Amino acid sequence: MENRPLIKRIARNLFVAVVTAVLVACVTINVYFPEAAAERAADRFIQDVIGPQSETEGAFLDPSIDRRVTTRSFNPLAIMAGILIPSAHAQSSQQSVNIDIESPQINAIKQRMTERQREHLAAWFEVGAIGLDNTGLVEIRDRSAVGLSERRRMEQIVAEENADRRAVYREIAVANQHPEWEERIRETFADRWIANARPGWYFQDESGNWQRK
Amino acid sequence: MTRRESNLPPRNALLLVAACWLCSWSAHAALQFELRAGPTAFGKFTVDSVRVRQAQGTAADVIGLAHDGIGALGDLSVRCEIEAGTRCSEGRVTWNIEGADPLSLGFERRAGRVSLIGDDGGQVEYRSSGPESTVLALRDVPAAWMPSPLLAEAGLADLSGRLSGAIELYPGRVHAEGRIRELAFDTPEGLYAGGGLALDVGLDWMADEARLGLDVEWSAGELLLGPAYLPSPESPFTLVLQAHGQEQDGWRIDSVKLEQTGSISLAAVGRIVPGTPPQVTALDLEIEQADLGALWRQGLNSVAGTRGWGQLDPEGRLTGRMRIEGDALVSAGLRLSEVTIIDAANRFEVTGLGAWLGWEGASRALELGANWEDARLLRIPLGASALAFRTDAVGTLELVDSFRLPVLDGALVVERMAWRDWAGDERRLALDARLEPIDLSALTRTLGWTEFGGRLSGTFPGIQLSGSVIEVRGGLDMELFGGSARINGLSVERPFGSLPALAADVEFEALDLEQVTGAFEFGRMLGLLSGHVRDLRLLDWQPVRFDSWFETLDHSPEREISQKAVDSISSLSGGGGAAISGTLLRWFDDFPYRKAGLGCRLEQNVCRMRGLRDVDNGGYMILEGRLIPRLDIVGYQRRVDWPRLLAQLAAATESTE
Repeated sequence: MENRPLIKRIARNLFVAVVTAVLVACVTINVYFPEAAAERAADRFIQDVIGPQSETEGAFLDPSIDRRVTTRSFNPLAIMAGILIPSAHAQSSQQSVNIDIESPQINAIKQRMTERQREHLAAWFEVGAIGLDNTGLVEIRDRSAVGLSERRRMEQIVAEENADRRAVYREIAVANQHPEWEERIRETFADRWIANARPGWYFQDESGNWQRK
Repeated sequence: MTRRESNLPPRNALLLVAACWLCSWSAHAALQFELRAGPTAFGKFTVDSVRVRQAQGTAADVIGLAHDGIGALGDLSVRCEIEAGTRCSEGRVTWNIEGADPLSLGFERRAGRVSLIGDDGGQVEYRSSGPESTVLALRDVPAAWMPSPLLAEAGLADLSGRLSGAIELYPGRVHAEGRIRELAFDTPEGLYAGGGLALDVGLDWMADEARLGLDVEWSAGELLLGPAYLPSPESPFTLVLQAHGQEQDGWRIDSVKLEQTGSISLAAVGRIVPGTPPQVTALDLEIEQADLGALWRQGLNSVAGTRGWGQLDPEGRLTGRMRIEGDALVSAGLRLSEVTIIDAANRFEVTGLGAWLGWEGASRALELGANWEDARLLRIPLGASALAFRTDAVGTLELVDSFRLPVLDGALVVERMAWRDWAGDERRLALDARLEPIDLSALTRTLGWTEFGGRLSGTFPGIQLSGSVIEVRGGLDMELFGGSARINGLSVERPFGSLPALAADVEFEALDLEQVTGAFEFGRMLGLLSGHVRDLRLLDWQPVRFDSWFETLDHSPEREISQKAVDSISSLSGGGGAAISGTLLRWFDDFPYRKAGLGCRLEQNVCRMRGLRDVDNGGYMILEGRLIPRLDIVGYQRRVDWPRLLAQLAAATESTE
């Protein structure tokens, strides 16, 4: 007879633990930045702007994905919850953190960036006058690589490009209901701009040194 | 053949070389010899060796010429081709310097003149009429005569152009005049460059007084100075400078004047301490007058362009003065008058603008203000107004008097506005402002929206600026359509930049449906409507996200809907128009209803619709009929493409009732 309360107590504690696990797990899933989805979205956007990569070039693009996956925190509660939560729920959580960047306004910016890329930036990337920095922006690195007639517009065009890029990163975060993701989206774009860069373009490595792709 | 070799001590040997060759050519033509000297120094120049040979003409080689500051200057060789008596009258000088093509010039020497003539047409002539006067005349001397290592020493990566002119040397005085044409230069990092430049330079140097006079006229060619691009000037710029050297203090600039006839006139005095780069330790600058339009076109536009303001086209006048001592701006006063600014991107315009700024470095006191006759912001007309700011004792920049800006028939009134720590990164803006009622029909007409009447007013107890986000505390109240609305949580991002954004929550209360539907040609509906548009976000002033809900109030006395309004609602919920026309109901003009409600959650270009309640077959009740003829409107499409919805709505409201 004395065991009953004990069993009750164990049962209650177990129940609390499971409920806690479920709650924690739900939260954990939702706050994860959807790295892979963001990368896919960034790749689509970038390839629209600079044109698609040829297949051989695309082959070595993905080391960053592996690195990110392995650095994710190990959460036993989340694993437990993963077993307990019906898979449909997990899936819907996953869907809700998909990264979407399609809107007429973002597309208008993309169109503007594509034209700018074609008219000015592509040639400047090629001769090394500008490069991709490690914050997802474009930086002037060697003005002397282009003549005076081009160079006089470089400062303004690069400033316009960076204003557009900043707006895109911010609005993608806001459109996906997570303004606080702005910095992560920017980091993802920084990685993907470099991964999608054409051979010969310059980019900044993590310590800020210029490298040639 | 006689041959003499000599191994004199270096310095003496060189003197001998100089004596033999440069001054008299005393060696007899028949005599053949070779003189050599080892390492030698002359002031800051050193040479590894010198060799003079006399055998079928005289030849001299200076090997390993170097300068303390510049470094290696290569080898110089002189070949005499024609010797008239004891003098070499024609020959060739070749300068070989590592990293550059050899420079080979012919020389002629006749009756007190020595000329150097390049194969490229350039010529330098040295004329001397005794110690009292010496002239160095240059004709079309190309910049290519300057070998690249010297270019690098001068901090240049590239130099081309031609120089003509004369340098006159008198005892204790130098006078020079030069015409530089087609000058192009570039620096190694490309930050400074020029092309097609035409410069006329005059220089006077009085050695005993250490007095320098310089005037430069820039009549053509473009310049790139960091972010600033200066196009070829519309009319020539002249710079006139008077300075004198002071033993300890570097240079005293007695006067410097920069002018562009009729448009820009700057004058300054100051002190410059030599160094790399030379430092301006004191400067008094006076902008006597400057035409803002000329200044803008002459380079200000390129700097403004990097901040997204390149499309302004200002006109007006700028005057002012500033004083710099050491690194500090001691005082400054600038005044803009009769300014008109029209933004080609249609963001704003202002006419009859006057503005001033005053700064006292010692007390860190700043005063600034502006007034204007007429202005326009995002197409909204703003009336004449004036405002002024002043710093107080603790460094807060405050509005001096309350500021009233007429907006259409209303006004924005700012009673108090203060930036604490205005110069720092942590600046905070405190604000006490209100919007006096503005006529909505004028506002909506100005903005090109569907016109509707009402009044807009509000109070703003504060504004928060963080990054590019401007958050307005407080809210706006609207009286419209016989009801009211309140806008809360208003924030604006990048208002004049790339992709302007606006966020807000709007609550609507008891709008008269007859007025609403009348304004939008929606068909006629009687009743009262409340609702909200929350989490609204506009990009480029177009909605990209919101969660809206509107429903009729049960206590409204009359609740009726017309045929056309039924069609319009059908369009809103994604169905086609003309829902009733095929049925018996078309014989009725109006239908009584019990309640109507429709919501849309816009996200990613899709409107997710909802109604009063869900009904069978996956539909949702939008309008519930009452009495006879009873009409219910049920929507079935839950996901409606937003652009298509707008198009359908436009089509529905355009068709006649």
